[in-house]
Amino acid sequence: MHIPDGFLDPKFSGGLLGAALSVLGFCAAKVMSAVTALVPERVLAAAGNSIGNIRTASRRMLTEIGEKKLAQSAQVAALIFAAQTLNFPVNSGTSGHLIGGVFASVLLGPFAGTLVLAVVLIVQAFLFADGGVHALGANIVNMAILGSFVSYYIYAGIKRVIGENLSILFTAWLSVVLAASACALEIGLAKSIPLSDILPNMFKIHTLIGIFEAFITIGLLKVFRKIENNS
Amino acid sequence: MIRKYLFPIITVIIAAVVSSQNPDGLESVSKMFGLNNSAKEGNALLAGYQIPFLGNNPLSSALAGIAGILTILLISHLATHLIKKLTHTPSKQPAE
Repeated sequence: MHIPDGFLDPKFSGGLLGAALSVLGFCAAKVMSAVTALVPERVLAAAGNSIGNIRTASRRMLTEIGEKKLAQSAQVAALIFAAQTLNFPVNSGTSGHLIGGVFASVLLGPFAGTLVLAVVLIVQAFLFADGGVHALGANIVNMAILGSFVSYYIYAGIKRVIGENLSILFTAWLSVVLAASACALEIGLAKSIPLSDILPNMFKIHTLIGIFEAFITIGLLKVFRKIENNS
Repeated sequence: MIRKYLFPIITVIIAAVVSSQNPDGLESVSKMFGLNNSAKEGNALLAGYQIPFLGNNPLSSALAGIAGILTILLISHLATHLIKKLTHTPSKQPAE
């Protein structure tokens, strides 16, 4: 579902990149405050600095748990990147692959999850030409923001009603349909393909790909949690 | 360290061998409406998940995939380093 360059209007792509960067900046700020903690300066001074450095002010430091969370995010990013290289046949002549948005946000939370997806998309665009560099904003909006950030809140909202497993299955499926619909809308608005043609076709094929996403997501979550518990 | 990344590494190796060559959902729909010709080929270092001098084969795909995992690992290390720098966090916490 990675939009290549040439499908979207450059101005529209720029607008989407601006929107993507705003959300990523917000997520980065949230992650930064989650992985750091305020430490009084005098504690630092007592831990080794000269007595003259003792102050009452506080400053932020990366916590041990925060560092572990960053390492876990890297593992999740690597796994999503790897899983996205595995294309499975869906129906006549079409394949699909995992997006991993719900997998990332359920494991890491919506902010780190969105950043992880964005990093994967950036690496894919710049190193592998998978998704256009100019279309990167659109791809981040579709797969990271809708596929991870927005989907996480839908998951969290319905989890209380239908339980964890069903909400993961449903939201993982929905994340693909949402991302595909947004992708179709962007291409349709750019008039590259009439919206009335691309939207139903993208919707149709991705409702099917979404089923694979749902089951791969729940399987990966179980495997990843097992690996985490054993290490 | 390697153990933590074993699962993704195994996945890219398997993908290099068994991954479907069929177009994905968007490629398939864009082909249906003749838009695939408008797609501009990017000239990235490992475009198409292949190592240029190794050609188009599973070994080349697997190595390109591993290069992607290493790049993500590098970005993660740089991000952690940057946060430590910004917050003046010492590399090792002093013992109590």
